[in-house]
Amino acid sequence: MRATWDRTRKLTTGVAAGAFLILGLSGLPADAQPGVVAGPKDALTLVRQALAALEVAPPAVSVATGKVIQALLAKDTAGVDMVRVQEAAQALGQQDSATAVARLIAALHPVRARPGGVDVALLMPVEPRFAGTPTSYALLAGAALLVTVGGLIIRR
Amino acid sequence: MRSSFRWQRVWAAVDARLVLHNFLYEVPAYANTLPYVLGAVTLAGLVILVVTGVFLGQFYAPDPSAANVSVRIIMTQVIGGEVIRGIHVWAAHLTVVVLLLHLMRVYVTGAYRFPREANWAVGVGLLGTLLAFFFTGTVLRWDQGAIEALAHNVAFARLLGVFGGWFSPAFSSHVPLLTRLYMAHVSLLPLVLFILLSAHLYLVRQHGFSPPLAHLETTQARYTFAHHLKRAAGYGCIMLGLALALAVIFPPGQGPAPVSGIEVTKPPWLFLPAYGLETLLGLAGLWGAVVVFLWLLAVPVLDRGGGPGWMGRRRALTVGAAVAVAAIALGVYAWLSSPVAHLH
Repeated sequence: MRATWDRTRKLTTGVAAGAFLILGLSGLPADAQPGVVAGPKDALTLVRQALAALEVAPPAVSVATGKVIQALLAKDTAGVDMVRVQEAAQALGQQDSATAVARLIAALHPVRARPGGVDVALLMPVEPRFAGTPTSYALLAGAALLVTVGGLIIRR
Repeated sequence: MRSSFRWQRVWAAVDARLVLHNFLYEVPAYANTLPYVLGAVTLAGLVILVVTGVFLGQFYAPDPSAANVSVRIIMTQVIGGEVIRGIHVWAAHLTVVVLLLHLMRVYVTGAYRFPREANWAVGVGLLGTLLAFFFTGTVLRWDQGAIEALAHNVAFARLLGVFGGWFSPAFSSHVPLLTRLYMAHVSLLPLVLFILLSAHLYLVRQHGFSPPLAHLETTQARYTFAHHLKRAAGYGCIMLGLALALAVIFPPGQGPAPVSGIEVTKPPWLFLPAYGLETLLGLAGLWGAVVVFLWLLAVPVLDRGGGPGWMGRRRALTVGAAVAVAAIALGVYAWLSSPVAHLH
């Protein structure tokens, strides 16, 4: 029973890994094809590209997966914590893009840590929302006043 | 009574020096209706954009290493920065909408016909200038969408061959293209805008308002151009109010610092039709936008003869409607589809 369970688990893992690889390879850019100009080879750029792909709405998971696989295969891994990249790859395999983003950001050495590092604060989007503060309501009142004054000018 | 007399003296003194009474020329009543005020409302939108843009220019750093963070500083540390930026962004969208409505009104009423062909060409030039403003403004955000727009800029410059020289990084290799596009946004394009706008207003003054399609005014009350400007100011107030409300309720965000060599975003709504065409035909699809502009310039030549009414202009109206439907369809297609890598 236990042997069957292990075999099933291995098979599932194998299928998942295969699917992940196929998905990842399908996300490889055209420049990976022979005869086409090569893309970046360093893991730092590739990880940043993967991040960029995941931070759009909806996240471009297949593109990000391709970039993460390329990063894992990269020879130049300066400035990148490759263990975190592996964790990001596992998260992507489970279609968990939020965790993958967190792992990829953690994989990049912050700018203060070493020269050539990445300012991690700039890798996160700024998404302001309606504040609902007295100032914002005062501004809305100002907007209503402008519309009213405009209407009065047109009517006169 | 005394106050009124004082104002009259002030007006006379100012008018004697600035000859402002030249702006009090008579305009027909229909010129003060919304469809005929849209051009002036566009001008009001441009005033809002210039004022807010001058403010933003004080805090924006047009360098690839600092641009993204400077936008963040505007949003989080500059007093009023987030609201002013929001007004700038939303006013840009509203101004383009009003301009497109103005273009449609002029097209539908056939106002480009003799003797206004030159002014139509100037108007098409103004449309192109505003689109260039919008494009360069998109790049200035310096997020992922911006760098992808810039990559398209460079790729299309290559497509243009010798005519695309200015738009390529090689033109001035020691100055980042972002810096040069910033220069275009705050200096070159405003200059072009000023020249074209002056020509546009001059020609409107010389030829007068184009006749309406539905009726010819006969016994309606007559107004001066000052009334027209007053109306435009009223609509301008409303536009500013709307932009302010939108800036507060839906403040524009800022994306992460960009990385090149990847295409995962789509352009703003205005460029979606061109993006859709690019998805269908590849980068060469961008020639479609050039073709549309050439067609717009040729409209007065293509639509000659026939009566001034709807029936006399059936062909022009059909072609115009077909172009509009195609643009909307391409835009919707691009909006619904996933981002496509056109360059990489």
